[in-house]
Amino acid sequence: MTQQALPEWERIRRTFEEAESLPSEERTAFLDRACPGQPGLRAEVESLLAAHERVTGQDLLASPFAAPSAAEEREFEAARIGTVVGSYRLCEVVGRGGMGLVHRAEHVDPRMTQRVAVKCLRRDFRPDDLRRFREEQRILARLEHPNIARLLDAGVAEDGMPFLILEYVDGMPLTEYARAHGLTTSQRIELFETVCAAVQAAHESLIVHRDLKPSNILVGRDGRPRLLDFGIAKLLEEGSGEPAALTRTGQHVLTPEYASPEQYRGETASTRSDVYSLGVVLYELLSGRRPHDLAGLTAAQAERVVCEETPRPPRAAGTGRELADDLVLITMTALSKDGARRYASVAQLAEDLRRHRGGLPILARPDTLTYRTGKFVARNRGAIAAAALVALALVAGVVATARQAAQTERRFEQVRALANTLLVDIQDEIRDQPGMTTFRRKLVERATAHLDGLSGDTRDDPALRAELAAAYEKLGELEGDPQFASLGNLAGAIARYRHADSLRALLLAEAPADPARRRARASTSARLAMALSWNGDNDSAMVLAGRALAELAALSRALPGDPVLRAHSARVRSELGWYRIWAGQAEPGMEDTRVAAAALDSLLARSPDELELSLARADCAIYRSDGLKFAARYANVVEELEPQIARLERLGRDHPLHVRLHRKRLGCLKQLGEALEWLDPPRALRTYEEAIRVSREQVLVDGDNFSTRRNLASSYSHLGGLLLDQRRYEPALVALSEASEAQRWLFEQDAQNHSDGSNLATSLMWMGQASAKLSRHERAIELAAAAVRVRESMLARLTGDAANLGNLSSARGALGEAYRGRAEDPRTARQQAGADRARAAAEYRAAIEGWERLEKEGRRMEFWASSIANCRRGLAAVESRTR
Amino acid sequence: MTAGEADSDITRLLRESAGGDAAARDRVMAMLYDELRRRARFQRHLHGRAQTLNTTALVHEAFLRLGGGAQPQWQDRIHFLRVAARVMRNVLVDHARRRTAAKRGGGVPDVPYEDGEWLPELKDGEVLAIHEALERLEALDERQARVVELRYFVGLEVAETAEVLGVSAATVKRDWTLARAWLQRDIERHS
Repeated sequence: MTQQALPEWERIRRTFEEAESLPSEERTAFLDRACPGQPGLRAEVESLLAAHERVTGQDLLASPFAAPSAAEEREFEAARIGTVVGSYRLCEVVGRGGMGLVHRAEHVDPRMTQRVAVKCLRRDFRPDDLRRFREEQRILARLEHPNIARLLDAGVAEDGMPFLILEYVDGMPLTEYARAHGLTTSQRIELFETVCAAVQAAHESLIVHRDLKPSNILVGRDGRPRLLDFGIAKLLEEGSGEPAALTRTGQHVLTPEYASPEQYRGETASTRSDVYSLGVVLYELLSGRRPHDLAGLTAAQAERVVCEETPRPPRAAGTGRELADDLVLITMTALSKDGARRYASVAQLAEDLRRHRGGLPILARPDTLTYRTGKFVARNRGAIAAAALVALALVAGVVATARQAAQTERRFEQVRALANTLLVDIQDEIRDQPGMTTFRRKLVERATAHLDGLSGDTRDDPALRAELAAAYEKLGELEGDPQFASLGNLAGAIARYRHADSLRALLLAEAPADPARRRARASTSARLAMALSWNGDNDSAMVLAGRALAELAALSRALPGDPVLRAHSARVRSELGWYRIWAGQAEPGMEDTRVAAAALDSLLARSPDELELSLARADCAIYRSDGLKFAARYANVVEELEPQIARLERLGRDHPLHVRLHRKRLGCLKQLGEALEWLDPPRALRTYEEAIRVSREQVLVDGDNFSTRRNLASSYSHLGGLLLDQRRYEPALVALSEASEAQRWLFEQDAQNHSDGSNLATSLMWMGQASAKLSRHERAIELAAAAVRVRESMLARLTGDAANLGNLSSARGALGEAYRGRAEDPRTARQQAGADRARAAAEYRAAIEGWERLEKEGRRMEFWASSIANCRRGLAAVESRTR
Repeated sequence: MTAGEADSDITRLLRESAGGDAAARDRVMAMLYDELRRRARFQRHLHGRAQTLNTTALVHEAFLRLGGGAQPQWQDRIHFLRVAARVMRNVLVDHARRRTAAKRGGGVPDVPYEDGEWLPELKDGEVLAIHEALERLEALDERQARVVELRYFVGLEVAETAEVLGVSAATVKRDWTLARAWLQRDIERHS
């Protein structure tokens, strides 16, 4: 539209606005250009511009209703003093927040000496404030903790204003208290740990505080810190209605110095946002200053600083001395810009502080060799540790020149001894140390390549072949054994174990009566059996384990009192039982595990809490739980697991960094959670949360390790599935997106791994279903389509895989549901709804077709029955509307 | 009418008035007027004097009370603010007219003086001049008039005004600039 064609006022308006946006000296030239031959327009605009100049700076239209000045606000507050709210008379104002005002108050009955705090809304509150006020009341009612100021009563005053009666804390802000009492660093940390406990308690009630800062953490005269002001706190499980609005509001009321980057960006605040704010408080507590100086910055500048600039490491308050490295690291970990790099929980932050005070290695240490080795040597001042260090130094030098070295017999022996040291002694010693996976791979690769090279020349040396078998076994363990910290390549592990097993078989054939060779063969076979079982081949696993067990039984008869042999037999027997359970032979399988459990219990009675025995017993409990679960004996599962979890927890305190121990605990927790889903869903939820905590810790210390990542993903996925069942869609989405993030990573690393892809697709599909329930149709469609894509990409390699085909149909059905959801939403435009119905019908049909194909091949599984029925119902609904 | 009836009434009336029902809007305005007066007097009682009036708070309080225990809907609040702007404008203009009439010796005002007691001290002439100029602006640019009404008579900020009118904050700022210039010139021409 040209200017000419516009109505007169429009032309005036546009010309005025454009002219007004220019500096005044450019306006004449602009009007010359803009109003050629339109003297009327030009005169009008010029006259308005002149009026604009006159009115600028004047108070015409200054609203008589502008917000009251601060002085007037104080006057208003003063007028309230002495008035009675509930049974309390208001005294002075002790706190002012974004929406609330807190008075100290006294009971009207002078005999009642308890002093309380009364919180009410500010005079110019908004409807959102009222909602948050009620939310705070609900939140406080859930919280009962010695370090959280208690809610005593709540009500509505005569003038209609709601109020809360709270425990009055006569104290000072945390940082001020520390300064005033001249607390030492250690005392400060101890005090801070108490604060962490309170925040953790809130988190465990699914409450995020979102406004942690020293003025909300008062330390009473009794030295007890108390957490206050849950005014903008949020219940994690709530908010399905308007999470975005809540976040917007949250953004308005954030405290600049303590808010996390994600709060600045207006994203959903999580428990990790509280970790960040606690990090700021800790920084301030230790160093006397805040990580960022935001004074005088605009909101946009502050956001940039908080979101992008890494703060300087804290230095000790007052003295300016260096703080202990670990303390700096703990603080900086809590302050990570990226929530995923922070402590996963406040409990973890507190745990690291506790570890620091106790001189233990902290979890936040980056995966550096020097640190691990440093702590390792510090705690194991034995020969192995020294040997490890020497060997490490030599790996690069001596082994690299191994080929030349091998030319003389003397050097050959030296190098061989070194390779063995690297491979067996050090590998075993660090096997259960976290953060060693990458290092171990290098170690084992070099040593094996080296032994391979040597073995070419010495085929007839049985000792060398035994060493090679051990080397391949270690390599298999490292490469993909799900039992150990591994690099996630199960097929590789099976190949290595097979190689080791055939070497052992040859050695045994040469000397069938040699007890060492018999024992070694049994052990290797049992390992191979386990790897095969993980790969779904329980038949071969049963054969191998059965043979290993027979061998061990024969050896036991020769050496009746040998506890190591007994333990080994029991372990293999429990494994055999597990394979049988999975192969459908429930009764003999349960009997195997029962016998094994009894044997292990009697060994444990003699050496209580012995680590390897405890781990074997926990495994046995996990295997038994599978059998019990298949028989729907959930209460028995709980009985079976509880004592094992308790023991592992006990042991965990002495072995904070023992990888296998924590993973075993995790395995028990997940089994327990699955059983509790049937018995006690709230407890199942807590159990999964504990599992997540444990697995996050493991990822934190050992992120290279595929097994730890997989465990984390599966913990979240369990939790997400349970929440979905409970129709708690918002938290389900949070858990599932954590799961899918980790699963996507795993799938990207190893697209060959079927189960990672399958788990990812399932998480995406569930997220789609949760989003559809929340009427987020676009997101639901996106997620279901992504699930279909993942399944399709796996189809290329797994054409014959019935499970994947059937699950692809499930994903298509979910996509159909998502389209139908949008079509049926009254807000959807009619044309769009029509197109969505057509897409939904196509997806439903493709899904049903897929299942029907499987059925024709006789491979339909009961598992999908309800999904098929759902798809048919959905298709019928869509078709009836289309007609 | 019981309190409960009043509660459901206001929500229904708000929706009807948003849908263009003039009778419903008049009822809402009457209810709102009463409520505003009650609330303002309470404020004054606490304050001791009515130098300024925090209309934003007043309007929201009124809204919450009229909405009763029900959780107010966002849309309702927007309609409510639109209506409230109208009510405040009428109240102020009426009051200014009565006082002006009384001062000019046009007889005894037909409402007791104390009824205007809760209003802030305003220059009656200015209120009337703005009101009349605004009527003329309304004929030219309806949205600009709404912007002025919300900002001047309810005291809303730019962002809130934008929210109520469903436009961007930049639009409100531009409208406000031109409207002020236009009103300034108009008032000068008519005085």
